[in-house]
Amino acid sequence: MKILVCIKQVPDPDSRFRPNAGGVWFDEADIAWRMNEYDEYAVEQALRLKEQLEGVPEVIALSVGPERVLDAVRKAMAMGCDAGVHIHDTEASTKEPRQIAGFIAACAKREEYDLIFTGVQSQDRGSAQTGVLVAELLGFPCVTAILDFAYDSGTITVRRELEGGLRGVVRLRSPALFTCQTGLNIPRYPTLPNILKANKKEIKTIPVSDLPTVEPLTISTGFYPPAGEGSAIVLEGELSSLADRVVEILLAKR
Amino acid sequence: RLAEAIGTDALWACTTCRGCQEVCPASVEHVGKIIEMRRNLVLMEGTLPGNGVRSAFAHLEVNANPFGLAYAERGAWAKGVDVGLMAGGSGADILYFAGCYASFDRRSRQVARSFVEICNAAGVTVGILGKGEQCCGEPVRGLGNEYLYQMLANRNIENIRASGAKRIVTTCPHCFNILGRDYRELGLDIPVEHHTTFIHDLLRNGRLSLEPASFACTYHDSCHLGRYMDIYDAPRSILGAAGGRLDEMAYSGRSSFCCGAGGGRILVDEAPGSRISEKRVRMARDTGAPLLVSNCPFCLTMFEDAIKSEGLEGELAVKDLAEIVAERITIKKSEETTGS
Repeated sequence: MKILVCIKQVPDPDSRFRPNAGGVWFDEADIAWRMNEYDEYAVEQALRLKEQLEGVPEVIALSVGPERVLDAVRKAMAMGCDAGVHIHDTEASTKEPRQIAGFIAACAKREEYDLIFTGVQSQDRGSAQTGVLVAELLGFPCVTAILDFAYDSGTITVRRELEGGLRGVVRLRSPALFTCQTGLNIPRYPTLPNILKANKKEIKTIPVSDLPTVEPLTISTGFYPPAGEGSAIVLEGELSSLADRVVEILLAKR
Repeated sequence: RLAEAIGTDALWACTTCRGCQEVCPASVEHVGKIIEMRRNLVLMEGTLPGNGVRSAFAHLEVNANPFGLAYAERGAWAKGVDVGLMAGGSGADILYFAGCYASFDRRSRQVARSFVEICNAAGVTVGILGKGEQCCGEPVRGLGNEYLYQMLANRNIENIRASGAKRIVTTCPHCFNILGRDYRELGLDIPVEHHTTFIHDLLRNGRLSLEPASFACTYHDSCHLGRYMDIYDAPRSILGAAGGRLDEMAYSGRSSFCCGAGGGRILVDEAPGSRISEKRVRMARDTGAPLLVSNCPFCLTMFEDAIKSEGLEGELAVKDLAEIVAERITIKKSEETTGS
């Protein structure tokens, strides 16, 4: 069994975001990078399935982007993925999900994956499309925002997040793709032996120019902070005085 | 298994205060063994004591501080303060290794600013690493995450070397211990001082003078300055010079009672049982002194919280020694300007 996990390296949300020189995305200076939080759940779920099946499945971590995304791939491998794939694309941040999904699907087609896990969305663009588009391109059934995953001899039962706190139950067979939502699991902390093993595992690099081009249907024309509409006041201080100030403000607005 | 026989609750509860080793007649080294067992849990099993530590480790990996605040903002506390960014041997007298709390925590930033005020008054030029500074790694090492500790330490050593610093001063006993002792194993050989002995020297050498304003206080010997580094007299001498009338708490000096935050526990979710910090502030309250003086940002944080949770606001306040000194500086103009 072969399992693919698609991961994205995203900027840490607490970084200061400034428009880049072109004014169409954020400047990468002073940005701290991390694996997309939802993709951590995807990695964890793939590894749990591998453990359930006594280590037999091969779990591959794949990421699209410049050189720096290798840190995210190594993190996935330090958690326990068997190997990595790096689709090397220095312009990945300018591309839309349709293009990224196109690259991933082109690679995945060659490998015959049984299951694919991705995060429900990325913490920077937040499109929530890439996983679904990959499934579509591969002809896989796809279930999004899963909160629970169970595998039993080829039959998979998942619970997915719906509005209003409801859960939908879906039962299907592989091959299939799942996008993972917060609450699915708590990702494991990499152990030292796995961190060291990860440095020896193989990461295959595929230049994006080796893959079929995908034309964008949308392009980014601007990136700027929203104009201040109202004003936000951040109150700081001791709890007792904070409460008084909130009361003052509310009374003043009456 | 050893960890299970001892109980992981007990293993994680330790604050590495070294109170045990201080009294042990057989010189058993409890703390080292506890940390070794923690290392096994963290590094070999990936077991962590709760979600607080899980997020702190994740934040430290991404932003080099346990709060998850942007690493690029680490030097922001120094805006408008007379410190320079040390890059490539800029020649400041000292490198002030501020640490995570002084850099990011609102209360502890006041200590950083007080310390710089003191240096300015004494004619000591101060440089910082700014966003080049990472967590010193002491709480991380204390929790058994040797791998993350070494990652942070090696990056710090690289940046410290690149800064050309010849002398490091810190306002945190944890940074003080780890930079001054543990970093030596990793190749750092620059002298490291804590701000208490540094200020004491400034007073002794006449580079700093204080206008004493009389006040009643009690003084908390932090574990990492006291038992770990034998620094008890210099801080008390400073308090005297500042006009302090000191009433010692029960368990002071070598037998000082921990604030509860050591051994990485400042990052850990609450332990079962009563709060160590509350026990300690009750001891402070029992001296009758209205002011508790500390020398460590962890102690400061724990005591600020415990004073509130014990309902002692208005009765007892806590301040760092640097704040007390800064309040009493008389500007010293020396005839000759000498480098330090």
